Amino acid sequence: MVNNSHNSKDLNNLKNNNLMIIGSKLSENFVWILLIIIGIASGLLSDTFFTTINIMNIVQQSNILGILVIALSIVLLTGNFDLSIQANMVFTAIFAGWLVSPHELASGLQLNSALGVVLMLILGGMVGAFNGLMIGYFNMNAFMCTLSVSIILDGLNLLWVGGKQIFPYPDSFRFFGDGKIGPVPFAMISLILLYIIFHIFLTRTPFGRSLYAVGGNRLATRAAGIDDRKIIFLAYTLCGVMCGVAGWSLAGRLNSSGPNMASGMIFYVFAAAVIGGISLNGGKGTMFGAFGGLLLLTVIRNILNLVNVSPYVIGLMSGLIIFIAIAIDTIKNRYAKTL
Amino acid sequence: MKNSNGVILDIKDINKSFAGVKALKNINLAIKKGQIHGIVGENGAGKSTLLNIIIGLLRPDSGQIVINDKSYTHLNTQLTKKLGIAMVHQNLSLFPNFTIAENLFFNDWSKNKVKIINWKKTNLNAKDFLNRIGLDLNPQKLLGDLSYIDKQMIEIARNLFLLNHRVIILDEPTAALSAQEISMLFEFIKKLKSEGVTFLYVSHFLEEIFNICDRVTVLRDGKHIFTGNTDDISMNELINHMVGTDVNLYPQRDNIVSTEYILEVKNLRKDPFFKDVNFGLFKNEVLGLAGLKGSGKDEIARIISGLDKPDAGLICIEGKKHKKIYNSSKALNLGIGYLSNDRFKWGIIPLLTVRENISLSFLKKIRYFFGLINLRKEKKSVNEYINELKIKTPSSEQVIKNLSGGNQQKAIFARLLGANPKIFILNDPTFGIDVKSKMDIHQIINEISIRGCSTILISSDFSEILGVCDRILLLKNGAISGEYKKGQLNLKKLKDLLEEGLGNGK
Repeated sequence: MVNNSHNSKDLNNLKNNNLMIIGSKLSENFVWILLIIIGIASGLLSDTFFTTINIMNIVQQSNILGILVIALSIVLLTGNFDLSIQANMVFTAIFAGWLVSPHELASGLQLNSALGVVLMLILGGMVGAFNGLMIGYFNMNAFMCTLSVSIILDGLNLLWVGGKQIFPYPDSFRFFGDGKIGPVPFAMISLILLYIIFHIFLTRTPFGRSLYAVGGNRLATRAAGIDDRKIIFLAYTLCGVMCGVAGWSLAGRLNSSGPNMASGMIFYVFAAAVIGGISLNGGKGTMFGAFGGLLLLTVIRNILNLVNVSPYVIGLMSGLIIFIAIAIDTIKNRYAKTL
Repeated sequence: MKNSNGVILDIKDINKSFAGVKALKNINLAIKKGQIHGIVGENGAGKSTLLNIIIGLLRPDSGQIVINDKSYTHLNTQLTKKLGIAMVHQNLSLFPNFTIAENLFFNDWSKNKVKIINWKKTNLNAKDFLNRIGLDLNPQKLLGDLSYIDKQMIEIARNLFLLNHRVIILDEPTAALSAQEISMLFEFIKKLKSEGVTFLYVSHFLEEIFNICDRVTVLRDGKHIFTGNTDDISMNELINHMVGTDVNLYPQRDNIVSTEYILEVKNLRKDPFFKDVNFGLFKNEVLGLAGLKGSGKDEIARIISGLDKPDAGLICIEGKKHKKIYNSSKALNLGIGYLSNDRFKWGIIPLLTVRENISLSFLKKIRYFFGLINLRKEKKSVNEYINELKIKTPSSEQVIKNLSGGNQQKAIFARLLGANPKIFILNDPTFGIDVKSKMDIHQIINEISIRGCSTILISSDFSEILGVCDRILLLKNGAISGEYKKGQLNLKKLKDLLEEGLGNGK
């Protein structure tokens, strides 16, 4: 008898435990729940929303933003900031145009596309490495360092091409951002692939794990014998390379590049990452969540477009919706704490 | 006036569980007014849960709290403030960027008629107040510039006087204080007690419980085990209540030390701590480094572990000379692993799971194709460590901040073992943890030495150094001032040796 009652108690505890785990899983994937709700609402508002073409459109449209979200998330996980990702992306796009385009502002080299891409990724990585050096090794404030790098790059971009655009890009270069495999845009495939790769990278490699560790407690990571400065340096470098990837997609998509081609995007990058559960304090968040945040943001803009909201209002509306999403998230976190 | 026997705080049938695990089971406890009531128990016994319920941070599942004849099912922080219950935390909650006076009078400024803070009066009041409690400090000094000890005194003082509390909970108040400061604090507590203030005193240092408490309560595994007058119980009985079995704090150790140096430190200098430190560490040895606060023992540990740089000197590891060890990952490559005394700052990564915290040090060794972590191997190794070190956790997937201090410390120790160093630099490895975890850690230190590793042990607990180490070095006046084999010293002699001639030593 005694034994029996013990067992049922343990079983009860187990059940409670399972409930807790389900609860925490639900709250971790809060963004996906929100996405489903807004998705259903959008389906009711517009007949075209749930068509294959529109869904593909949404994922394709989120490509560039999505790659920048990956770039930013890497750095956010270490507990740092990067405000220069948008400027860096534009910088690499113009640089690639300079290398591969026949335009009069270009170098005239008209390099092979593959070589052009490699060089633009290296350039993006170098900008990131500079940030990483200053922030990781010289303890410069991440906010100020990347802000000034961003302003410098914006200035360089203007100095380079003035108010003009560099175009066209060769088709082989453009495939990454604008190509199709059958009816499916390559930008959709590449985005999903990139998120899967980075999800595995973050959860299953020692480097990915150490990003979380540095963001969670930098000193403890150092005491555990991991070179925290190097981790931060590498995180920024990788972030920079991903800016290059975003620049590749962007230039391909637009078939031109100029200093103002992505103005204001940085705010949406931060919004998507944070809605997706990447903590601004570091050490917390997943690629899966970030992907949800990204889709949520794109869906909102998409449905506002579909129901013909004036473009002047869309900015305001998306800002409000982002705010509401983050407010709900904050309330949810507070509730989770008292649980 | 029903409570004629002077009970100020009466806890009745309190239950609390977390995630289905019972943290407190039917706790009944009556605290009498004007007494100092000690609460002891291993980590995980439910002490912090109970305290958090009393100060209104946690809501009990069932039961009642009776304060001044009024019964509450739960409290909140505003209510406890009104009722006059306050807690002085282990981790201080002061503002380092404010002055002492600003910290003391925060939210309670001396204002003039137009509601502008009167700084002159505030500072004067602060000075008066500091004098009253025997602290000779300038109230206009920045708090961040003070030593930890002074900060703690300010924190306690702030709660005691300005908030005018009637029940004060002290959680490990002496953990970082010197003997002299502890007696100062005790005088202070006793004075307040005579004025009718009630204390709940939580400490791992049982000597203190007997020294200052009128009554003591033992919790174990969430259950109330014992409450009684400290005069009626012996130290051994108390420990047995806490642990539930008979205890032996220090493991038996055979002399297995080799005569071959694995590590030598030569002419090490770090201003302003020490000028010329020389010593060697034998293979299989547990070497104790004893010194008072500020002797530079922390700095020696950090320099050898690559976390700090020396001003001069050499470190020889297995005969190879190093001017400095550039960083901790280099140190680990050389076979040196470090365990910090500050597990919040230098130990745990709070948001990660126990598994992720432990495996951090050996992730690179369990990679398989494409350099990915072999999760199965990771889980297996982590579970082995959890069993070997007796880490109490519901599972390896538990977030580490939910574990008790002793178990967190053991997890950090497991991380260190996972890095597989040959030389362990342990800086106060049992600081602020429970008796049982302490014993477990002593046992591990003994075992790693048998396996062929060497250990440098630094501890604020001198009896630990005496109990665990094969050889003890005294660090004083910036150099090694003495060397003793195990058994050549006792606690009193060690303390006398370290304290004698201080003051004219410079």
